[in-house]
Amino acid sequence: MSNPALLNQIVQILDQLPDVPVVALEVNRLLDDPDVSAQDLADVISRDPSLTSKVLKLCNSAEYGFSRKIATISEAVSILGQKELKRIIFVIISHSLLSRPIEGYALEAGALWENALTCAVYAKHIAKSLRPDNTKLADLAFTGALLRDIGKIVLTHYVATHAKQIEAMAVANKLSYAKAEEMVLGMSHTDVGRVVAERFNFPQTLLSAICYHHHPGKMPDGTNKEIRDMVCMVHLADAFTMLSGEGLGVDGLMYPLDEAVFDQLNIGRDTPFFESLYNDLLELRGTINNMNQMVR
Amino acid sequence: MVAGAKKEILISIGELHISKNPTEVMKATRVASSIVVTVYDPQAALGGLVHMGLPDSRMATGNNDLPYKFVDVALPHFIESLAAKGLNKQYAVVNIIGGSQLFNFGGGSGNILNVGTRNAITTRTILSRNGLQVAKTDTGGNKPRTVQLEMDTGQVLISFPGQVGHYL
Repeated sequence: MSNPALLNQIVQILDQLPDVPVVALEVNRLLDDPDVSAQDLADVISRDPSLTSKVLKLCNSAEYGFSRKIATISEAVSILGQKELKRIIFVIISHSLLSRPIEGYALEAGALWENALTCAVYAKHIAKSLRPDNTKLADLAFTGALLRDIGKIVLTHYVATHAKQIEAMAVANKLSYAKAEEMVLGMSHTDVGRVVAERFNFPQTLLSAICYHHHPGKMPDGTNKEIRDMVCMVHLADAFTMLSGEGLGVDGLMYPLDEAVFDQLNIGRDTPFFESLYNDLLELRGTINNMNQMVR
Repeated sequence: MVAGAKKEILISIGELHISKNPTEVMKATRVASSIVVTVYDPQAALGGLVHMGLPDSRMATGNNDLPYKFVDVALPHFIESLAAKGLNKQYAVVNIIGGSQLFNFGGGSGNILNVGTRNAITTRTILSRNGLQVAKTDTGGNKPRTVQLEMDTGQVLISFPGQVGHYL
């Protein structure tokens, strides 16, 4: 990150964003505190009627398959457990933050959210296919994919006036759109994503997905295997999301596939494998639509 | 974009639509690596749009609830259905749109995800095998497209994110 003046402006824009889900962000913070009780969490969630109703709706969705209806937020918190509650909270946070129009990227209202949800469902499927025994990895990949492009909600203000220049830079110099953003604006949406994630106290694993989802091969030495796997899965899910066209803006498909994913995930470089996987992902449209309905 | 009494029909990957209704606008959004074929027969005032995501149905090793997402399944069915409605291949105006790709800066393994190119190639082959000549194509590149077939004129409007649409 090479532009302190821009960084300062980014933080100011971030602090003035409308519709920031303050209560959900507070719940996220509380979930990291081992001393917080289920009742404390329920009390905080109850302060926000819209959040309460969304948590209950998600908790009663087919995905969880509870045999009886969960009617109160206290019940929801205790039956879900902290890990699942956190996943639901991140779905709600990202829906709040990503649903606005992102004009600089030519994304109408809802487009970035649908892109994020698609990528999240794809990433979870990829994780479950490649590492069937590791459910934690599937959850990490889901949330990482969901919030990977969070920086766009702020960088959009700058991309708006420089989109042509960024695209020309990317094409002429064979750079990913994110790298071209960095060359033209001084920061890419992944750099800005880091600022947003730190401001909102997102966990470290999420930060890795946000910062490295376009180039997982550049993760620092010493990054643990699980995080490396997760970021590579998010990268792969991102590639398939671009191919699917869901919620793409001016940056379109202007990102290359990082060679690092093949060795890291131990997958072959063959078309039948990838097209078979893509078929499976396109079949998930119903799952994506159902989740989308649930959070509205 | 659509004025007055025009009816917009949205067509996602794995779907097709055929009609003689001049008030319809057949619309495929999010056409990235997927491929759209539009057909319009001005004599019969008959038109159709099919939106496909993958070239080869043999790749369906898992679920396949959307069989028409495959070019080799959807396109022959689309052509047969048009013929059943009275399509005259001699007059048919056939266009191919889509087939975008990820950035691939040469070398490496970028080509394994060239599903967009493979969709376009398979589409051309099947159209040719069925005696349909392609009028215009707008394929490739690294951007998603929105495609609209306007049934009152048979014109095809294409737009990219953040840009004004243009007729093919």
